[in-house]
Formats: sequence, structure tokens, C-alpha cells
Amino acid sequence: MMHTPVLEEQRRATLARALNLALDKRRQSVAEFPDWEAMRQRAHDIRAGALDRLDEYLNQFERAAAANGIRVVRVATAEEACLYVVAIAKRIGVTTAVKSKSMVTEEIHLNRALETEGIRAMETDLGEYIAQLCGQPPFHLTAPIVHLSRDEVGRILADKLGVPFTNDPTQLTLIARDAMRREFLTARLGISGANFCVAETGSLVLVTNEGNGRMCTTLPAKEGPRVHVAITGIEKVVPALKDVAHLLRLLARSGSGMRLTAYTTLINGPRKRAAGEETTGPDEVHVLLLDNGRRAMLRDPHLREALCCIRCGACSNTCPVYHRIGGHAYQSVYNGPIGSVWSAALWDTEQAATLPFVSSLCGACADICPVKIDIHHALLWQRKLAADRGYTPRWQRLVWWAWRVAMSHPALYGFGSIVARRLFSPAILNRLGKPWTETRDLPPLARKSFHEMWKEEAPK
Amino acid sequence: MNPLRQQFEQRLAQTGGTVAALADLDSLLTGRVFVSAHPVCRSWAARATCQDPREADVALTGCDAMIAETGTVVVFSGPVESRLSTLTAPTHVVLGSEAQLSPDMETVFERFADRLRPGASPASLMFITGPSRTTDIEKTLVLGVHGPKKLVFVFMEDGSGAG
Ligand code: SF4
Repeated sequence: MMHTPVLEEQRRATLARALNLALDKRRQSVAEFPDWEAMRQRAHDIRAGALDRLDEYLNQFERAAAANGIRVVRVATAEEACLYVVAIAKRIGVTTAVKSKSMVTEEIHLNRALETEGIRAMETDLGEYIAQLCGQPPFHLTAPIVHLSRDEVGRILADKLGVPFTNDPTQLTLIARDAMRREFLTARLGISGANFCVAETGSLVLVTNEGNGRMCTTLPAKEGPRVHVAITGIEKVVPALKDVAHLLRLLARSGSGMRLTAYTTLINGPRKRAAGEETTGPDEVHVLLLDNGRRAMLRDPHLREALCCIRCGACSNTCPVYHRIGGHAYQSVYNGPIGSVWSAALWDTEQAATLPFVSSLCGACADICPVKIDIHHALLWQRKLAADRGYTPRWQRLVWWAWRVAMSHPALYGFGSIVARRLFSPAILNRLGKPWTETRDLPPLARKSFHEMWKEEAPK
Repeated sequence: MNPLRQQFEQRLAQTGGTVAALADLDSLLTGRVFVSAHPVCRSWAARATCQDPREADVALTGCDAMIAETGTVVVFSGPVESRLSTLTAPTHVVLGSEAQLSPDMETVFERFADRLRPGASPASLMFITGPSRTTDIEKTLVLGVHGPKKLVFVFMEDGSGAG
């Protein structure tokens, strides 16, 4: 089983401050709605209802999007998705692509695929841009560099961009903005995810606070063919615009405490080319609807609900384990409570399959989730799956085997408990319990078992 | 004051946006000014000193709706407003009138249901809630990353009227 390193003290404090701030702001913004619980239920019903009739809505979305001039393509695997994007880049002859933050493109390792073909994919969310400059994966679903101090960010920019050192967040943002603006003005391939796909209207919904999502999908370059490719999971489809309005009401509030993300954009298609219609916007819009293991999740009744996730990040913000270990310790694209569920569902590796053990099962995640996903029960279920697949260590399986035998044979249990009480002195117990017992003592075993006491003292 | 307007103004201010009086609009149009083709902007067309929003310091545009619940300005792309006119200039000034206010996003979708049918809808619907923002560096709020640093809303009506 994997061992997750605990964050060093300093970084843990920075992280805790940021996460608690987000939680505070969420609490205030949720308090505006006395019927928040009912709103969560409705959000859950919208998402779960969409999954119940997934194929119907996907087909409807596909037809509506086509009517809007969007090319919709179903892709089964990460490789297929990457090949498609590479082919577009080659066809329009670009060596740079601008990217808006998207977990799905991380999931399929699109950047790596593009790089091997000599195409540089530039992240344009400020946090992701900085993470990319220093070669780190995103730390948190919605806050990719929440673990870095302003000094560290200053050194990264000074180092990589050759600018004078500053640790002022406003200056740093300005420096990064200018560097990215130059790229935006010539970029012809824009890559994004999608927060929702609307079946009724064939729209993509994309939210960003910085406006980079709008830049990547508008592509302000003046010449040459410009193409926007959105890559998203099949589970992102929702029936109608009114559903989007409701989900958006919960999304930003849950994640950051804002009422609405600064830029919420509905993309209905490429630039309208009729004379006098539109002056800017891409020539083509492609949407890749990715499976990559999602249909298998849909078939498992315990994991199906996890597909309802709207990626607000609140479950990570509230998770006591995440607070201690941070995002990188999960060593997976998707981290935090729901990230563990997704990782274990998508990837059949020991690393991913054992992530559900990195949880206290306290249920804080399920309590905060705006779409009411029963996250901790999914994690519990996946522990069983991991054990069935032989991903748990041998000693653990042995212990559980012994437990089962003892619990189903009362005589054996009674005998075992007598032996154990003779054998395990407090000193031995404390030795076995290390490192937990380094700062505390385990209570000594009772001298008599409950059984024995009952025999002696129960009223006849 | 119109209660929707009151809520809109208050919530827009909470996002870091500002509301200015029509009388003060002139003073906002400094530097390289881009003025959109929206009919509401016509009276200021002569103030334009720049035809390309990519190069403008200030962009003056109209809008299609406003949302009181979130302090949001809604702009449809098309012949009058482009996807860029509301995005690239450091200051974005928006003109609108009280009749365009909706209580929430659902109402906006209902109001424009006709225009939002597949094949007929504007290529892009932009819901703009305050200036461009980030809190990526130590959770410090910085405005004006890729989009405008300043978002100023101007009502065509003065707010003192009965509503
Ligand atoms: S599981 Fe729920 S709380 Fe966690 S990111 Fe998804 S929607 Fe948000």
C-alpha cells in the first residue's frame, strides 16, 4: 500500500489558511439561501437524471450542436482523443496551442502527446501557467498553486521569464499576463474543457474567473484558420439551460463562495460567417466527448453517482486528510476525496486503486457536496474492490481472515481472547502500535472479558 | 429605486465592479477608446479613437441583459458586440437600461428562449460578473488578469425615478 508523505509544517499552514478561507466564504454565500438543502437535492436530481438517460441526452446534444455548426466526436480512449487534437494541430499548421484549465486534458495527458509531436501546449490559467513553468502538476482542483508562497512564485517567474524578482501578487500577475497576452494574439489553436454540455441547445458552458477560457475559445489572432477544441467527459451533459442556471448557482458558491464565476460563457458554435455577422471567433469548434472508463463507472451502482461531480473542489477544501497531506501526495491527476473515487475507477493500478484508503471516511465530503454525492460510501466500496483485486497487503488480508474465522467460532474467539490478554502487556501493545503510540499510550487490555463478567455478575 | 436595480448595483459592487452615473460617462472615455456598434452607444460613437478592441484602453459596449441575483452583465456575440469587445481592453464600460434587468439567470433564458434554439442562437453568450480576477497567488485578490481590470456599469436612466 502506498505511504503518503505529510506536508511540511510551513506548507501545511499556507494550505490550511487558503482552504479555510474558501470554506468561510462558502459558508457566507450559502447562508443567502435558507433552502440550500433543497437546492442540493435538486442539483443532485438534475445530474442523476441526466445520467439515467445519458445516451438520449448525448444524442440530443450532438444533433443540436451540429445544427449550431459544432463538430461533435465521440472518443473512447485517451489515445484517440490525443490523436484527434494532434491531427487538427498538424492540419492547420500550428506549433503552439493555448489551453484553458481542464482536468480532462490532464486525465488524458494531452500536453505530453502534443509535445512529442513538437506542439507546445501553453496553460493560461495563472496558477496552471506557473505550475507548468516549474514542471509541477496542479495541486488542487480549482487552486493549482495554492501550496506555493508568493516568494516561491516570484523566484519561478524571475527564473523562467528572466524578469526582476518581485513577490507582489499584483506585479507577478501582470508579468504573467503580458507574457500570455503576446501568445494569445497569435495563437490559432485553443483547447478547453467544458463544465457542461446542454442537450437542449447544443451549447458548451465554460467558466473561468480570469478570462483565459474566453481567450482560448475566441482566439483573437487576426490571420489563419483558428480552431477551438473542447474535450470533455460524456457525463457532463445536462438536459436544459434552466438546469445549467441552477447548477451554476451552486458551483461557484461551493468552491470559492462567489455568487457566479466571473466569466460564464455559453459557446454555441464557430464565428458566424455571413456578411456583417461576426468579426471574431474561431472558424471551427470541435467537441470531443470522452468515455475513457466512464461507462464502466455508470454500470457500477456504487460508483455511478460519482459521475454527478461538477468539480467545485469543496470536498477537498473540507477534507481533514487533504488538509494534512495536500494534493500532490495522491500522485494522481484527480485528487482529494472525489479524486480518489475517480482515480480508482479509471485506472487499474495499485497506486490508484488504493487511494480510497487515504480517507478517514468521516463523510465531511458528502456533507458539503453541492450535488450530494455519497463520496465516502463510494470510497468504502472501492476498498472492497481493491481487496478483491489483491491490491491490499498480505498481512492485512491475513488479519481479516483470522478475524473472520474467530468471529464465526465463539469457542475459538473465547480462547483467543484469554491468550491475548495473557500475552499482550501494555509494553508490547505500545511497541506494536508504533508510530501512533510514540506520543500516547494504548489503554491496557481489560483483565476480564465482558463474557466472563456477565457470567459472574448477571442477575440469575 | 427599482429593487432589482438596487440588488444588481449592490452585487456588482461586491464583485469589484462599479456603477457610474450617465453624466460621468464622458470622463471615463480616456486613452484609446473603442466604441461598439450597439445602438445604445451611438451618441458616443464620435469619441472612438480606436477601431480594434485588442488595442483599446477603454471599450464602451451595450449589453443584452443584466442579472440582479449575481450582479451579472449578459452580452450576446453578433453583429454589434463581438467576443473581444468585452474582453481585451483594461477598462470595460457597459451601457444598459433598467428594462433589461432580470432577477436571475433562469429568467434570462426564458426571455430569450426564441433566440436560443439550436441553429439560431448567437455563437457566444457571455455572462460577465465583475472584472477579471484571480486569487491563485496566496489567495490574494488581483483584478485584470486576461480580461478587464475595471468593469463600469452605466444606467441610461438616473436611479432616482420611481420604480
Ligand atoms: S464531489 Fe461534490 S464537492 Fe467534490 S468536487 Fe465534485 S461536486 Fe464538488
